[in-house]
Amino acid sequence: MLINLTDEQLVELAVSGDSEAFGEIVKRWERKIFALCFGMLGREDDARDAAQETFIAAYRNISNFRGEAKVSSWLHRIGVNQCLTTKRRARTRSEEFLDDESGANERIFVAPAHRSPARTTEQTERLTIVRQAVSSLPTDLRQVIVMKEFEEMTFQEISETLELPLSTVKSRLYTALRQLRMKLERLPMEIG
Amino acid sequence: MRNEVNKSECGFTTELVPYMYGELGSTESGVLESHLIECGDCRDEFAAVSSARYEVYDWKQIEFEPLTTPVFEIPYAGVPEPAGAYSWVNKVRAAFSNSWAVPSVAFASVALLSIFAASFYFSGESETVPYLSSNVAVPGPSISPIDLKREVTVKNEDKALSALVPQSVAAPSSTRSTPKPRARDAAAVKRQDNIRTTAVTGRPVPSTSRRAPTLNEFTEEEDTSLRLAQLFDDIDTKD
Repeated sequence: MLINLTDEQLVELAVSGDSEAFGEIVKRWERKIFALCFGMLGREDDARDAAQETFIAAYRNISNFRGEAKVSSWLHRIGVNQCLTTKRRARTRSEEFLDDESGANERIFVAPAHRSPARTTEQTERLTIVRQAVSSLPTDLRQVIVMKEFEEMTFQEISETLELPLSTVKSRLYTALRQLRMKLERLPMEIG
Repeated sequence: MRNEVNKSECGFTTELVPYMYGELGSTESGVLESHLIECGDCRDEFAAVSSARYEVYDWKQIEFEPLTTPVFEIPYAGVPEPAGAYSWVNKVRAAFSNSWAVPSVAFASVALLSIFAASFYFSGESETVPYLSSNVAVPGPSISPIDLKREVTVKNEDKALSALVPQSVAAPSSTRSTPKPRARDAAAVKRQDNIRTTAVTGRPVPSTSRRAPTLNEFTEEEDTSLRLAQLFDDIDTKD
């Protein structure tokens, strides 16, 4: 029954107190929001907590949803704000997630069987650099990269979600990838 | 930093990214591919953004894709209900959002008003309609429409008889007896007979509501309720 309803209809039901309707919204968007949080924060446990907080915040403020934007855009904005809050908290605790080498080593990474240990170590180091480079990008640039790569959104969808012109989204992603390229060239020397 | 990046003078740089993600139209893609063959700077730019994109894509494929989506449980009981979820405004709005709600409420209101009006009308009639020859209004059970009809018949008979009698003769007088009052009494007897007949036929006509009780009909009954004097007697006895 709820599967056939649109996001906006589900929100209306949720506003009237139907928790099952909100559960359906969570089911539809949990993977995307989890991907967004993972791309923005770079760690699974932080991404899980941030996504959880995103949905709780959405439920708490669902009566403020005016229907002017799409539900996905609304959830995305809450998710980005939640990620920024998480990073701010981490900074105040002086815990830089992506700079934390011990944190990086704690990550469970199961290498494919055909790869040698040397190759696995090389890849792990490479992934650490990529995470760090993405994390160091300005928020607006990091956001478009994560939306494109992790959430697999089209340029049109990103434009609608961020309420930006299509040309701005394209140029912003181009700028983000150019800066990322420069950081990836520089970071190995800085880390080494 | 951003200004350093956007240093390419070609007008195709912003089209590189949509082309890389396959979101450029076929015509524009053909034009861009032709340009890339000729322009070395744009080829370098394309290689740079493609490699950066590949790094992010690789990161996602290795670290994120194997992850299962966590189960997000919203503690509905712990989280305060959405503001306005149970407000009376929302309830009224929800009640009237159905197309059948307004006609139903209107119909129910009209029906209730009709019932109240009918009950008020009939209860008022039972208190004011005189019974038989007596003009005393006797409070009693409400009179049914059948009884009202019979009462109207009786009144019509009264009028018919009084029309036969001249006014000077019809007026009751203690000194002069005329056959006309007698005829009036006969009519009264007839009316009593009608009532009896009606009672025999089994219509639920309460006899107490027919006429006012007179002093002769008063029957003394023993009052067994507790009296104040008895209370005083009890107190004296105890003392």
